[in-house]
Amino acid sequence: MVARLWQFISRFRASLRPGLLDRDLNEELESHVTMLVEDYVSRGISPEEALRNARFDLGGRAQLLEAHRAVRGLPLLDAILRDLRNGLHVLRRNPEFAFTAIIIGLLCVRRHGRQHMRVAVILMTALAVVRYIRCNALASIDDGGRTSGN
Amino acid sequence: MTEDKSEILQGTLDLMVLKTLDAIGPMHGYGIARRIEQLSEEALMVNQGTIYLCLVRLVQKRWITARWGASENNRRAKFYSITKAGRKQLDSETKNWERVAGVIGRLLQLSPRN
Repeated sequence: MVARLWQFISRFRASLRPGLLDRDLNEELESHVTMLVEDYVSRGISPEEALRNARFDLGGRAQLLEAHRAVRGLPLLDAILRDLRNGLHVLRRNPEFAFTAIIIGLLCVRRHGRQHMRVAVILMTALAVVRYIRCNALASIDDGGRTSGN
Repeated sequence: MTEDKSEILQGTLDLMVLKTLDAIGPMHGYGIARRIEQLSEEALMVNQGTIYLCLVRLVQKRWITARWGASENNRRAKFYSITKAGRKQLDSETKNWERVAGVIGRLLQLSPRN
């Protein structure tokens, strides 16, 4: 019971810092390969073949990393955090879309009133106009990097 | 890789790792895998990558601890050590294993009815 509790806490913490633990495992696997290569070489195998054998013995690195992530973390929480990170990344790249989405979201949460729908339509139109202007500005940049109009 | 090598039964790798660490003291993943293969006189095939999945499980349960150190060849390696809770678990798992092995042994000795 205590072991299960510790395991849950560890897995929760691991889900919050996937990059750090991936780097840690990669370093550990590198160290494993180095020791395995030394072992093969001491048995008279050429360094190239030793390295090939060592990598084969350890198995696919990508699959191992994936399996390690599944064992050390909480897959559901990992998926939610990954989606959140991706969502935030998209919102950061399109601030006007983020602003509109948040306002519309808040309005929808409060009430589906006609007044709110009107505000939502205005915001969506403003967003479309901003995007149209931005696209035109990008299209007008010629190959030399000079802008022509707009 | 040879055909006469047996795959380790699922769930028994944890017990083997705990026992190895209890017997030889702090050791890195590669050393643990090699020691299990050597003790089994190369009859058991330890998937070298799988050992790390087992190790992370045991660390999470606080049955073993991990810390970075230097190997015998002065290589940086992560060393694992068994904890007090790990020894207690090893004791309980050993008893359970002996009980199950005893039952299987008795079952296999049953003479056929004809």
